[in-house]
Order: sequence, then structure tokens, then C-alpha cells
Amino acid sequence: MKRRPAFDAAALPDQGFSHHAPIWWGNTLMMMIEGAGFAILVATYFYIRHNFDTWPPARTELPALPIPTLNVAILVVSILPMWYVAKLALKHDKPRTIGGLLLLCVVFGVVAAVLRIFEFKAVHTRWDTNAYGSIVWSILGIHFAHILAATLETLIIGILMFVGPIEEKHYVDITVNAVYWYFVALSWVALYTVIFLLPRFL
Amino acid sequence: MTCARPRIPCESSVRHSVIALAIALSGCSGIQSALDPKGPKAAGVLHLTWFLVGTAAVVYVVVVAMLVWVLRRGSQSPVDLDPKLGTEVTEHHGGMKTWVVSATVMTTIILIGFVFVDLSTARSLSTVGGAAPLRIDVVGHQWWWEVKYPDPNDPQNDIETANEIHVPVGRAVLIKMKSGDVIHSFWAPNLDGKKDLIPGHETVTWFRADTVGVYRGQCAEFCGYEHAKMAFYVVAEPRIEFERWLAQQRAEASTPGDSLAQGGERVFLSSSCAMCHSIAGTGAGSNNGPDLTHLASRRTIAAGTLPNTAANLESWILDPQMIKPGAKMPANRIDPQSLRALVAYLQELK
Amino acid sequence: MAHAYALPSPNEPDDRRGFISEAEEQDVRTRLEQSWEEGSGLYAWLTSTSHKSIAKRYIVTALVFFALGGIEAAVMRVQLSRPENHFVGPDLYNQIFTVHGSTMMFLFAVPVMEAIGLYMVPIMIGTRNVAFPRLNALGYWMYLIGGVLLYVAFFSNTGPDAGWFAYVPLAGPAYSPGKRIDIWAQMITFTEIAGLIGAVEIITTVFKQRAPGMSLNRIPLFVWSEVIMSFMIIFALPAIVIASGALAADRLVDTHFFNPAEGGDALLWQHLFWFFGHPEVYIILIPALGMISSIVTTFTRRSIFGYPAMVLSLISTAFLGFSLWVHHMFATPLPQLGQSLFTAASAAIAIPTGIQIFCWMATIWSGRPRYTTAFMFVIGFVLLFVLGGLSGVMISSIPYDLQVHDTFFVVAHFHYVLIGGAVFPLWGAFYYWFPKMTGRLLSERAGKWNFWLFFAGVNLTFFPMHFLGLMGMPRRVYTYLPEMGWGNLNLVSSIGAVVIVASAIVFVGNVVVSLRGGTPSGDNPWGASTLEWATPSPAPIYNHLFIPIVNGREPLWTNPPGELPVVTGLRTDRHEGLITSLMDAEPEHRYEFKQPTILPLILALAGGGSIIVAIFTPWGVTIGAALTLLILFCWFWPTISPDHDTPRRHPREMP
Repeated sequence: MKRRPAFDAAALPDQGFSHHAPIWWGNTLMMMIEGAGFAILVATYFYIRHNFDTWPPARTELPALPIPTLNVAILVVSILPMWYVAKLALKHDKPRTIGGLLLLCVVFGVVAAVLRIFEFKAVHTRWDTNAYGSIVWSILGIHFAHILAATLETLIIGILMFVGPIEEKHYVDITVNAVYWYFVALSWVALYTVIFLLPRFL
Repeated sequence: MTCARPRIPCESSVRHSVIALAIALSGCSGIQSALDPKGPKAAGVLHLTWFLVGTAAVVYVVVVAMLVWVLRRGSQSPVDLDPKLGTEVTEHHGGMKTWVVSATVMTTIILIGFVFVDLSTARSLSTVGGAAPLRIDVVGHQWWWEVKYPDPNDPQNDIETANEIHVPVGRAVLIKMKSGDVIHSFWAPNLDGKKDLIPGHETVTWFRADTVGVYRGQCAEFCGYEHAKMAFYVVAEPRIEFERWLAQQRAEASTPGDSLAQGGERVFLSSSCAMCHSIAGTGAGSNNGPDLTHLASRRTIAAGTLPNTAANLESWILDPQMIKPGAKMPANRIDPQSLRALVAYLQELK
Repeated sequence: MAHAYALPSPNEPDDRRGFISEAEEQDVRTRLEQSWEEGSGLYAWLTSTSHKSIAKRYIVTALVFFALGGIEAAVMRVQLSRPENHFVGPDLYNQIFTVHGSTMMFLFAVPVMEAIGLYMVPIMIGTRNVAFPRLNALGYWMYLIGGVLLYVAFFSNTGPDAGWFAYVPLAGPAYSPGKRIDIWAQMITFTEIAGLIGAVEIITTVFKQRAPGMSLNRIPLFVWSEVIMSFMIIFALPAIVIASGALAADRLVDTHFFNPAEGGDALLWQHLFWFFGHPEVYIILIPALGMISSIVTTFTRRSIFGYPAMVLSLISTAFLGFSLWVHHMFATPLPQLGQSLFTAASAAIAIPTGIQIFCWMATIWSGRPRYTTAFMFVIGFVLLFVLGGLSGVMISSIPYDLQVHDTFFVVAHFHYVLIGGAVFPLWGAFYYWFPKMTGRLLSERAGKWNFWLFFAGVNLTFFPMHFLGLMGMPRRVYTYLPEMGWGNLNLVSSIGAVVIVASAIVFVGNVVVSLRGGTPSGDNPWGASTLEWATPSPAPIYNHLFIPIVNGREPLWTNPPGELPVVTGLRTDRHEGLITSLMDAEPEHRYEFKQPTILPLILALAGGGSIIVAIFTPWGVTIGAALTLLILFCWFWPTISPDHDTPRRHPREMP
């Protein structure tokens, strides 16, 4: 095989952002997988709904609203610092500010995780009471794992911004982590609506 | 023992008999066979089957012929194409496109035809074929069939039996089904396709037997250890015999005639038998297992596993696990004399 | 764009003017071998991140499971060869058919189809490794642990016994006591994680790492089929992850997903399972269709006719595959109108597959077929798969299905489509790509024997089953009465199984003998056109010496023979590859592949261990979560490049 040089890659950059980066695709595919999972859980929720005359089932109170609403608000608000982090990361700007904001997001995540524990009580049912309890606890629980994973990832990168040394690929990781954070927060908006709001109207 | 490929049956009864004979001789007939319909639903499906098989066979032959043809034509092509044309465009291009498009269009037309025939057959078979159908309730258990004939006018007249269904010839039968444990499936192929019995749901099906005979069915959804031995029989009989059977089933258990059978009744009532089986009129009323009030009127025992004879009853009672390992009925320690008495009693329960 | 490499040196022969000199190539080769070399020994094997090494493990492991599944089938055929046989009792038989189905579907078919992709796709698209090499290794270990789990259970009489689709309530806590079904549910967790990982690898690698010039319309059809399969995996597998998780929860912690007494539903399981289960069979079929395209192209020496139609029909098959699942539930009390929609969809899916077959036929017509063993397996595919597809169209009809559902007719159908549609093309792919993987050719003579025995055996085994089903024989029965009249056909079928076993023996013998002393194949024994044949056999660990550039669908046929334009300038002291754009594969940036590490194995053992503990106690989930998070911490802790502070230098100038 004789090879003719036809393109010199030496001048190409080391990294690409957004959909140019393989890690972005890995994250996007992961969100698709998890999104499909959430969709199946929601479909299961509505399937089970058909087996009950009242919803929530008889002798189960409607899920409480205060703490869950606070939690979904916290998750949505946490998008703001994360969004700003991503903006700075695109410009490789101000690593310490990025680090500080990331740790702020970690605080949001921890608060959300703690509030999630109270949300398990707010639904006024146990996982083993009936099928309603089973599906509601499953949705709460699986999303809980998402909050923990996203918070941990954010913590790792946040610490790195202070400890260093920082390379360009870390900025790519930060932007991808931000997208995952949005996913965790926005998917909860949908799931919160299903669990806490819809029973009041359907 | 493979079936001769049958031709599509037509109206002539002579041809019908010839085909029936051919089927019977070829071994496709059977008491549990979709190829030997004894009622309108199975017959409707068999008509559909011949259409599907016939069309599929023709399509297959055509596809194989096409394959052979392209292989032979291909062997006459040059090994490499003119390099100026490249290998991405070929000299047959126009013809190939026509070929692919027409084959696709043909396929689509045939499939649309299939779906149309499927849906109209389904519709015609779903209407219950006859007024005032006979109502039967079936509850599936691991690994036997509980059969009830509810009397809408008087619940006292409800009949309960197991593993054997009697129906009058020519009258539609509406079966409502439930499961007592796991998913089962009710399937008597000479009469109809199958319907699942699903816990938490009630399912309904209907059939009509148009020929006198005994037909076998079998559970068709894996339900555990002895799924393979969960059969039932459908006895299609003339209306008068059916009414006679109904009346007989409605009666309480016959009183044991001789001292041997009386002894057997005592054995039944004093041992663990009565914990699971009921015999109307004796006080034994459990329905964990099949109702035995008219056991002797049934052709088989253990859900179609064994013919209902004294010897088989003895083996079964002594140790069901030897015949149907995993069955819910335990082995019974019982001395030969008591066993003989018990069986004598059971054989009087017509 | 031209480069220092192109300068002719007075010592170079004239015919190498404009090409990279042999001395230069040798230099690059040495450096690449040095930086990519993984060493030998157990630790090297356990830490490997080479996609070919990992894929080879997948393939070998999958074939071992295939053999085990085949033995299980043989045992079933012995038991059923005569009425009231006592070769195995009901408990063992029920475990055997469950483990046979689970092995073939979860441990053989999907893993092997992904694995052939993980092996060949990076070479075919001209890159050096998959996008996430450590993740790839993790996938294999998870798969291996899951398979071993199932078989340890089976060999200790704790094998699952509720069928490979484990209908509830039979598989639920009330009617399947003990741990059999819990083990099955967690085996699913392992294999589905591995499947999802493979899908993420394939999509990311194909989207971002193709050789420059390999725009979307120049991607080999096999690579398309692997990408489409992977997207199906992304959307189908979550359903069974949730289903098996719900089943495990019902059994372990008293949830009520499938308990009708508390608002759950036995039918919910069926919907969830088949929403995965039907796409699953297309996940298995679609890569096989891709393999056929590669084989037909090479052995007719023509580009496949109708490329856009081929791609679109693969995509339509994938979409339609998600709309068929209720055809497994026609005997349940679902509304008839709804069921009818699934009849139409189930018939409709025959159209795109038909288009594929017609396009292959057109290609053969215009080309010059060469009857190698691989090509014979393609012919076998047409003969077997079309038959199975026709029986499938038959059972898409509800009234017909209600007679043959859960009988041996359906067993015949799915074995014809799975063996004909997937295993035959796979065997063709083995004969086709064995030289690329090993450097040696399989014997064509033994290959023909392999093919004919396999073909005859499959027909002898499964054709009689069509009749058995119509004659009333349900499936999953460990025995039957003599008076049913099923004995003779069952005996014929069992004899067929013996013939299949013979063909398997011929295959194994062929592989063993050829590995040792088969004819050396050289780079491109078949004169094929795609990039995997532009590199030595077996391919070096870094795949291509220089990343190739393509200008058509069949690069080796459209470039002057023995010549290839390539990319220069990638580092050879790091595992560096090239990232290109999604649509047109224009170079975008360079990429560093992660190097060998023990972390994937550790994560698999920790995560896997806790999944296994979760069979017995829900604390397994908590412990597992904690361990997993800890290991992921190490995994994602950003590594610092060794020459972080060194300005980028041209590789040629490095000492």
C-alpha cells in the first residue's frame, strides 16, 4: 500500500466543544437512554392509573405540595449558575469563578437531595402499599440517583478548578456536565408535574 | 407423518369428504388439531390458513426462482466493470431500478391483501355464532381446569366440575375465564383459537361445536412445572344427551351402594382428601382441588393425564408425584384395603 | 496540504514519488507499536483498552454461550424425541428451555452482533479505537459477570425456570419462590448495561471518528446497520431494565407493580417486556443485514444497488420494529381494534426487508457472484429467512395466531428468522472477516461442509415444527402423550438437531486447524473495497498506519490499486486519533484515546458484586451505589497529560 499525504492534522486543535466532542455525544446518548427510561416510568404510571377508581387510590392523600414545589424550584434555579459556568468555560475564562459556581451548584444539589428524602414522605404512601406507591417511589428514587450522580460529578470538576492544573479538555467536560445538569433539573419538572400536580386535575 | 398438501376446499360435499378422508389418512386429523375443525371458528381459521399457506408458498417459490435467476444471470457478468463507469453505476441500472420498485410494489399489494383478509376473518369470527349461548365459567389453576355452569335463574343449580366440558352440538357456548393463580391459556384447536386466562382480568371467548365428538384441549401458556399435563376434554353431544348430563351433574353425590364403597366414603371424609376436594352432599366443601361429586362421569383424571380407571385412580391417589411431579396433591399414605375402598367409592360418583 | 513527507528523495524509486517513503513508514510504525503496545501477561490482558482485544473476548465468550445454548437445545430435542420420555424431568426441562432462550437472546445474539461491530467498525471507518476505550472494557466485564452468574445458578440447580420472557405472576414472588428469577432479573441488568455501553461506543465512534471524506452517504452499509442497531438499543433496552427492576423489586421489597390485588397488572409486564422484546429481534437482525451487504459487495464485485433505499429501509425497519410488540399479546384481552393496528404494522415491516433483498438481488444480477462459503451463507439466509418471514406474516393475522400462538409453529417461525436471518449471515461474516482478524483463511472445503450440514440440519429440525403446531402441540412442554400422534415429527426434528451439532463440530475444527496452519491471507484476500482491507491481517493494534482519506463508497476500488490518500501529522507518542464532522467527515480536531487501566475491571467487580448482593438484600443497592460513586470518582478524576506544559511540536521533529 502506497500512501499519499493529503491532509496534515498537526495544526488541528486538541479539543472541540459541544457536538464536536465525543464526550458530548456520550452524554447525549446517556440522556437519551435515561430519558427513555423516564418515559417508560411515566407510561407505567398512567397504565397503573387505569387500575384504580380514584387517584391517588382510596385512603391515600394527595401528595403534599410545599416541599416538592420548593425542591423543583431549587433544581430549576440551580440551572442559572450552571449556565453561567458553561458560558465562562466556553471562553476558558476565570477558572476560580467557575470553581466557585460549581461548588454553589453542589450545594443546590445537596439541598435537593435532602429535600428529596422529605419528598418520599410527601407522597403519603409507601413503596409496598400498592402499585401507586410502587411507581411513585420508583420515579422519586431513580431520579434521586440522578441528582446524586450529577452532584458528585459537579463536585469533582469544581474541586479540580481550585486544585489544578487545568487543561482545555476540562473546560469541555464542564460544558458537558452542565448539559447533564440541565437534564436532571428539567426532567424533574416533568416528573414533578406527573406525580404532584396531575393527580389534582385528573 | 406429514400432511399431504391440501387443496383449498370448495362447496362440494363430495370434495369435502375426499379432503376429509385424505386428511384423516395422512394423520392431520386428531382430537387436538387445528387442521380438523369441528366448529365454525376453527373452520374459519382453517380457510384463512389455506389462503395464507397457499399465498406464502407461491411467494416463496417466486423468490427462490428470482434468486436462481439472478445468480445465473450474474455469472455471465464481467468480473470487473469498465473502470471509467466505476463500480457504483452499472449497465443494468435502469432495469435494476424497475425490478426493485416492481418487486416492492408487488410485496406491498400482497401484504395489503393479507391484512384485509386477516381483518375481515377476525371480524366475522368475533360475532357470537348463535342466539342464547350457553354460559360456562372456567377458572384456571396450576394444573387443572375448574369448570362451572352457572344457572342465571337459580344459583342453587350451578354445576361444578373439572377438566371436562360438555356442550350441546350446534349451540354457541360463551366461556368467561379467570385465573386462580398464574396465566393459563384455554385452547381446543378443533373448535377455536386460544384465549389467555389472566389473574386480575376476566377474558371471554365463544365457540360452537357442529359435530358430535370428543375434542382435547391443552393449556397453552407456560404455567409452571406441569404445564405439559394440563389438558381438558370437550364433549360435544346431541342436545338431549347434554340435558341429561346437566341434570346428572346437578344432583348431589350418589350414596355409596355397598359396604366397600361406604368404607371408602369414610376414608375420604376422615383423611386429608376432604381438605382439598368437595363432594356435594357429604359436607366436604373445599375447592383447593377439583370437585369430585361426579368424578366417575369424567373420562380422565389429573387434567387429561390418565384415563379414569380404578388402577389409575389407585396410582394417582397413592403418589401423584410419580405421575405428575410438582402437582399440588401430595402423596398419601394409605393401606391397600382402604385404597380399594376409596376407589370403589369414587367410582360410584357418576 | 502537501508536506515534508512528499519530497522525493534521490534514493527513493520513481514509483514512490509523492508517496510517503518506506523508511518514513517504518519509523511511524515503530513509534505506533511502541506507544500502543499493551504487553502480554495477565495484567496486560485485564487492563486492555484495545477495541479489537475486547471485541475478540466478546466474540469468543458469545460463541461459548452459543455452544452452551446449543447443548441445552440438544437436550430438549432428546427429551422430546419420543413421547413420555424420561431423559429429563419437568423441573430440569423448564430450567433448560428458560436458560436456552435467555442464553441465545441475551448472552449470544446481541453481544455477538455488537462485538463484530466493535471489532470491525473502527477499522472500516479508519480510526484507531472506539471513542471510550475504558467504557468498552467495562461493558465486556459486566457481560461476562452476568453470563457467569446465570450459569453458576443453572449448574447449581437454581436456574430460572419461567421462560426467557418470565411472565408474571408465574415469575413473581408468589409462584416462583427462591432466587431463580431474581438471578435471571439481575443477569438482565448486567447484559443490558453491556449492550447500552456498546451502543454508545458505536454511535459516538461512527458519528465523530470517520476517515476524512467518509460523508454519511459513503459509510459502508454494515457500519450503518451497526449505528441503527445501536439507536434501537438506546430506546429498547430501558424498557427491560425497568421491567426487570420492577420484577426484582416485587420479589425483593414487596412492591406491587404486577400484583393485581394491589392495583398492579400482569399485562403491564407483557407490555414492558415486549416493548423491548420485539425491537430486540430487529436489533439482532439489522447488523446481520449489514453483514450481508459487505459480503455481497465483495463477492459480486459491485457496489450494492440502491444505497439510499438500503439505508432508509434499515431505518424504517428500526422504527417499525417499535410498533409491533402487541402481536405477542393477541391472546390477551386487549381491545380488538387496537390489536388490528399491530397486524398491519407486523405485515408492513416485511416491506423494508423485502427492499433489502431485492436490492441485493439486483446487485448480484449486475455483478459476478463468487461462491465462497461466505456467499453461500448469504444464499442460505435468503432461503431460510424468507420462509421464516412468510410464516411471520401468517402469524401477524390474529385469527391464525390464536391457533398457533404458543405452539411449535411459532417456535419454527422464530428459529427460521433468527437462524436464517441472523446466524447464517453471522457465519458468513466469520468466513469473510476471519482472515482480517487472524491473518489466516478458513478452509473453504470445510466451510462448504459447515454450510450444507447447517442448512440441512436447520430445515430438518424446524420445518416439521410448523406441522406440529397446527397439529396441536403447545410449546414449553416437557413431554406429550403417545396418542397425540406427534412422535414421528418430533423424532425427525431431533435427528435434525444432530445434523446441526455435526455442522458445529466442523466449524470448530475448521477454526482450530486454520488458526494454526491456515493459508496466510495477506491484507486483502478477497479483493474487497472497504477500509478494513487496507491494513495488514490481522490488523495492528492501531488499525491503520496513517488515517486514510476516502473519496467514495468503495475506497479500495475507486483509488488506483495499492494507493491511498492519508492524513499525516497525528502524534505517535500518544494514542491520538482524528475527530471529523458528523455529516461530511471533515477534520475538526485531534482526540486522545484513554490508555489501559485496571479501573474498568474494578468497577465491574464492585458494581457487579453489589448487583449480585442485591439479589439477596436491597442493601446491595446502597452498598453498590456508594462503591460505584467512589470508583467513578477515580475514573473521572481528570488526568493530566504528560506534556501538559510542553508546546505542541510536530511529531516528526520529536526525538
